[in-house]
Amino acid sequence: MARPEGVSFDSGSFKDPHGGVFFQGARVFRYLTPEGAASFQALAASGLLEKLSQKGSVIGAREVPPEEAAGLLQAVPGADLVVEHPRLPFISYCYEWPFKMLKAAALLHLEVLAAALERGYILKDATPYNIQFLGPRPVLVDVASFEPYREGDPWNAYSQFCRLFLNPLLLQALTGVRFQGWLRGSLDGIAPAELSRLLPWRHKLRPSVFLHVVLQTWLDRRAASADAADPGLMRRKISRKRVTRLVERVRSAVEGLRSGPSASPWARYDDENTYSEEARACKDAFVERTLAAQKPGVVWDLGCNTGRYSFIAARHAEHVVAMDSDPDAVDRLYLRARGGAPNVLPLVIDLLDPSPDHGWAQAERRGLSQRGPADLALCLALVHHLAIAGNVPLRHVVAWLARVARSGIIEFVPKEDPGAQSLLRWRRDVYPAYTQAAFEAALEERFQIIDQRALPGSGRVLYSLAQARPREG
Amino acid sequence: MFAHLSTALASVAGPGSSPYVDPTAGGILLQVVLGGITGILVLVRLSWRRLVAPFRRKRKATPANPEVDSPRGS
Repeated sequence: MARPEGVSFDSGSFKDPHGGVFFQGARVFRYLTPEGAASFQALAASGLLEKLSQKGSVIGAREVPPEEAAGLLQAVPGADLVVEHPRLPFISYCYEWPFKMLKAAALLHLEVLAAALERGYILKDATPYNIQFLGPRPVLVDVASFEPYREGDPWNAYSQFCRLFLNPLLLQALTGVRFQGWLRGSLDGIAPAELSRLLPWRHKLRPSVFLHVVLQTWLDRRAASADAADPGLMRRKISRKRVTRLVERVRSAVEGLRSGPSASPWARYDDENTYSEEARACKDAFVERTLAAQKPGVVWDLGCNTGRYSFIAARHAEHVVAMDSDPDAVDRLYLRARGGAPNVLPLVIDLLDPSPDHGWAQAERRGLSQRGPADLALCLALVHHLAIAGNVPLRHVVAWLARVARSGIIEFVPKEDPGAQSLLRWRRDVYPAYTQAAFEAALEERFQIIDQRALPGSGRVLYSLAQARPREG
Repeated sequence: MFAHLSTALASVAGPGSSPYVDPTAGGILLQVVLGGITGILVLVRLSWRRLVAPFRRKRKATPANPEVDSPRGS
C-alpha cells in the first residue's frame, strides 16, 4: 500500500503498541489502533481530556474526521483513528531541563494522574519524554498514555516515575550533583539501587527517601526471586484509594525538594558583567532593532545566561529557545520566564557538548542540530568561550552556526577584552588565528554581513547576519 | 501454610537476581507492602529467610542433626 505523500514517522514514538506520532508537512498526527482508539474515544467522551486540555495540562487533540483520516490511515496498517495535535515549536528533553523544570514536569504528571484516577483512568507510563514545555509551561503530550483504571491494579508506572522524575530530583536536592548528565547517559533514568548507594544514612532515614529509595531497592532485590517463586504476590489487588494515596505521597515528596542555593558565578553574570552603560545600551539597541526588523519565528539564544536578550527577542519573535550550559542560570531564567514571558523556553545545553542523537537506533532522541534550523540565532558574548575556552577554531564555530540557523546576531570579543583575558589567564595563548579579520572572513564564507556595530569603549563588535546566497558552481 | 512460606522463601533469599525480572517489580511489591497488615505480613514473608538465618546456623553446628539446612534443602 502506498504511503500518502509527505508522511514521516516520529523516530521516538514506537514503544506504545496502541499508537504513535507521525507528520505530514508541518502537521502533527497520532494514529491509534482499535484498542487505543476505543480508549481515546471513551476518554474524550468522559470530558476529562477537554478539561485537562483547557487547563493547559494536556495537549489539544482533535479527532480527524473519517473522510480526511482515510488517506492518512493508509500510512499505518492496522490503525483505526487519527487525531491531530498542535505543532510544538521545539522539542526538548528532560536532560536539557534545570531542576525546577524537571520538578514542574513531575508535579504536572502527578496532577494529571490524580485527576485521571478521580475519573476512573490512569496513566500507563510515567516518563518526562511525554512532557514538553511550551515556553516555560509544561504540558503532557501523549494522550495515548491514558487508559481505563481497572479496580485492583497497582500504579504500574510508579517505578518509572521514580527512575525518571523522583530519583534525579533527589540526587540533586540531597547531594548537589546535577542530574542532567546522568539522564543523558541513561534514558531509563536512575535506578533506586544506584541512588541508594550514593546517599548517606542520614538522608536514607528521611521517610520519603526510606520509602521510595531504600525500601524499593530492597524489594527490587527480593522481587528478583519472589516473582519466580510466587507470581500471585505480584498480582495482589491494590485499591484505588491506596493508589491515590501513593500518588499524593509522591507528590508531597517532590513538592518538598529544593535544588539548594546557586553556587554558579554565571547566575549573577547579568548583574556583575563589565559592560559600560553606554556599551550595554548600544548592544541592546542593535539587538532590538535587528529583531524588530526581521520578526523571526523561532530564535535560539545561544549562551543566553540569565536571558537578558532572550526577553528582548521574546518581544519580536514567536518563540525563543534560550540555551546555556549553567543549570543555575537557566533555573533563574525559567523563573523569570514563568513570571511573564510565555514564549521563552529555557534549556540547559552546553554548546561544546550539545545533546546527541541517541536511544534506540540512535534516533529515539534527537540531537540539538537535528531540531533546527532556527530562524535566527543570538550568539552574544559567546564566541570567545567556544574559541578560547573550548579550542574550537573560528571557522568551525561559524560553519556550525550556519547549519543551525538561517540568520544571526553575533558578537566578536577581541582577545584584549577583560572577558577574553580572564579565559587566557591560566592557559597559553595558542590562538594567533583569533582575530577580528579572521572572524569576519569566516563569517563571509557562510553568511552575508548585513549590518555591524562596534560597542563604544570595549573593542567588541556586533554583526547582523543573513543566510548567504547559494554558491555558484 | 508454613510449608508454603518456606518453599516460597527458599528462592526469595537466593543470592542471584533473575535478569528477566521487570524493573517495576519492586515498585509493585512496595504498593503491596503499603497495604497495612497485609503489607506487614508480606514484609515478614519476604524477610523470613534472614529472620531465621541465625537459628539455622546454630542448628548446622550441631553434629547430631547433620541433614538440616543441607544444600538440597535450600
